[in-house]
Amino acid sequence: MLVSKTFKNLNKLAKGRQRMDIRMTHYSGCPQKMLYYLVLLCVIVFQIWVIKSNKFTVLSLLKFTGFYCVYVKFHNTIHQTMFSLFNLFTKIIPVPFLSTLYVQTESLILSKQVGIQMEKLYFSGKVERLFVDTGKSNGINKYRDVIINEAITPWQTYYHLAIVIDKHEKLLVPFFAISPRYEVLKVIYRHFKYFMQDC
Amino acid sequence: MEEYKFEQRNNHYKIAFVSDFFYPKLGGVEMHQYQLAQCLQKLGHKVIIITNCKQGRQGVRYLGDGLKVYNCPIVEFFHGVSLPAMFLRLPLFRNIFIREKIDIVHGHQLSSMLMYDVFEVAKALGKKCIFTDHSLFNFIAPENHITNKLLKSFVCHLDAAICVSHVGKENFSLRTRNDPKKVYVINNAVNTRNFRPKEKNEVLDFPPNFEEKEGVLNIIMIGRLVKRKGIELSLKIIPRICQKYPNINFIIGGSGYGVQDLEDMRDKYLLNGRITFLGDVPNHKVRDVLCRGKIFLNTSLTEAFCITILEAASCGLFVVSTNVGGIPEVLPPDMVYLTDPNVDKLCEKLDLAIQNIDSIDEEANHKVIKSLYSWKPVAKKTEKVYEEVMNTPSLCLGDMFKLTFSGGWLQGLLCCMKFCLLIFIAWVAEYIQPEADIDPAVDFPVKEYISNKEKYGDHEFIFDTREDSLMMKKYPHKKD
Repeated sequence: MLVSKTFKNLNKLAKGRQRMDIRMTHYSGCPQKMLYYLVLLCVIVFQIWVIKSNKFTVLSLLKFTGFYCVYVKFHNTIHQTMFSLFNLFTKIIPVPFLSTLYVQTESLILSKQVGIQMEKLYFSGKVERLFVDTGKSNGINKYRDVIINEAITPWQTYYHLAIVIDKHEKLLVPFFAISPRYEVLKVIYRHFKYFMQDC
Repeated sequence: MEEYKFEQRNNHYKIAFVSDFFYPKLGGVEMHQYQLAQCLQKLGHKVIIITNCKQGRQGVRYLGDGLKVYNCPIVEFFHGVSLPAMFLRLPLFRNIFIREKIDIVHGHQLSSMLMYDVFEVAKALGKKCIFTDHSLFNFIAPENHITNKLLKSFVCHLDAAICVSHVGKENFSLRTRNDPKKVYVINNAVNTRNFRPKEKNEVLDFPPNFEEKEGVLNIIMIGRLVKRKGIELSLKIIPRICQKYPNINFIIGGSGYGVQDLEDMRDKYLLNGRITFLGDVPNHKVRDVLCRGKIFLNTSLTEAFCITILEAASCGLFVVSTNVGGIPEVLPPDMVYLTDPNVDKLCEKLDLAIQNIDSIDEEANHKVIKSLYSWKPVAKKTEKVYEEVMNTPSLCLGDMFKLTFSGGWLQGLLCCMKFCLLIFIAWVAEYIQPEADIDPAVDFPVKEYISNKEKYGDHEFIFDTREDSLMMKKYPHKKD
């Protein structure tokens, strides 16, 4: 903004005369640096807003593109050296795809005769489902038992709910992204187990 | 079955055993840990065990009678020992200490690197540290100059140390220049129920297809076939004795790089039918091997406390061994002949033993050892050590920093920096995952399980019977 104002006045003064264009680029100006970090803050807030929003609709796409044009133009005019591939790949490109990674809801539907269905809903609208058989048919995934299991990672140890299946070594974990606390798990486990005790 | 009487106590401690050596590898250190943990649980304390990934096992497991084992995701580097990584593992161990509410950390065996990591974390969080030493180390070899110096940074913060014999205590306190008042001596023991002498008309399983000839006396040697255990002596003793007595055979169990030399010796002196090599003997078959013989030979050159001798003596064998390290403290003089590690002297003692073989009473020997050695008094002695440690107040930070300088000024500076780093990272970990966010772990009900094992039928973890009965009313069980 400051640069364009000074140039406007110069153009008026030097209308009929010989002109010499002197252009200076700011490498480290104090007010511009603060602006740059303010814009970064806004980008981060915008990312959080995207993650918390419901679905990926046409309106949100328009908001994305509009904001990106302003962002890119701002970078090009003032801080050309700062605008790098690193920023592009870490801050700009992944943002619209982040909503495919963050989980909104995880749910379980139980029925004794039919089976169990595990459902995972992402913020981008994608849904993943998994079905577990109960009953007397010899299906692929036959339900056997439900347990509360302890897991160890290099960071921590935590409790999680797990469904045991016939003829498979691995356990199915219904509430993985949300990982509720132990008090909540106790209630879910009790109701689950006593509801499905005949299978 | 013995009945366990649960005495009423005021102090029940929560203890964590740490070492790289545990199940499924079975040796002296591992059995010591397992038996101690079981006895301490029956005395009312809570014990958990922390180890690294053994052969791909990872996760939380429960061994017999509710002993909880944490197999952490740490890779084995060399012979079961993990690589040391100092502050990168702080979050995991901090999490374990908080959820199990641990007071005391008890480490075993100096050569386990995992123990050093966990001790540093425990010190940064203010827990009490205890350590047991199971082996002797040299003073002269150049590599031990460095290790003894580095040990000082580890030992200065210890609240108590336990050694397995008096010789071990001398060695430890001289090596590390530690206060000998803080070093306790508690012996190892043996499970005499498993190591019984052979009964009449009993058929032994191991080794399979072994021909028992009449009038033949078997001498048994079990142990790692390594230079430290004295293979060079046995290479000269075996041919001498075989040439002198035609009715004596040798049975050698164990593996190591010395097998080649022994096989060469067997081919040279043409003793093919008289020496048998068994290789690695599984732990539950050691008694079958021992019961086949009458004499046990031990030629080891360094030993803090030899458990193999105890096992042999409780099976009724007569023992001939070198008087090295802590071996003279193990058995009463009726059951053992001790000499210097010299071929001639060992052969003399073997001759004596072979002449006096008829005067051995196996059952009497077994009873003597049953009265001398068992794991319950060992657990009670360690409990006293825990009481003393918990009753002494812990030092403030300034004194702990001063203690790090007990190994010299340079070592002190480096240790101070390391300690500061650890405290800072503990603060950061508290910020990222505060204590209130960590769920407390559910304790295994040891008392109720032991008093009524059938109720916990198919390994079910019963908690909150009142809620369970409510659920059973709500979802009634329909029988088709």
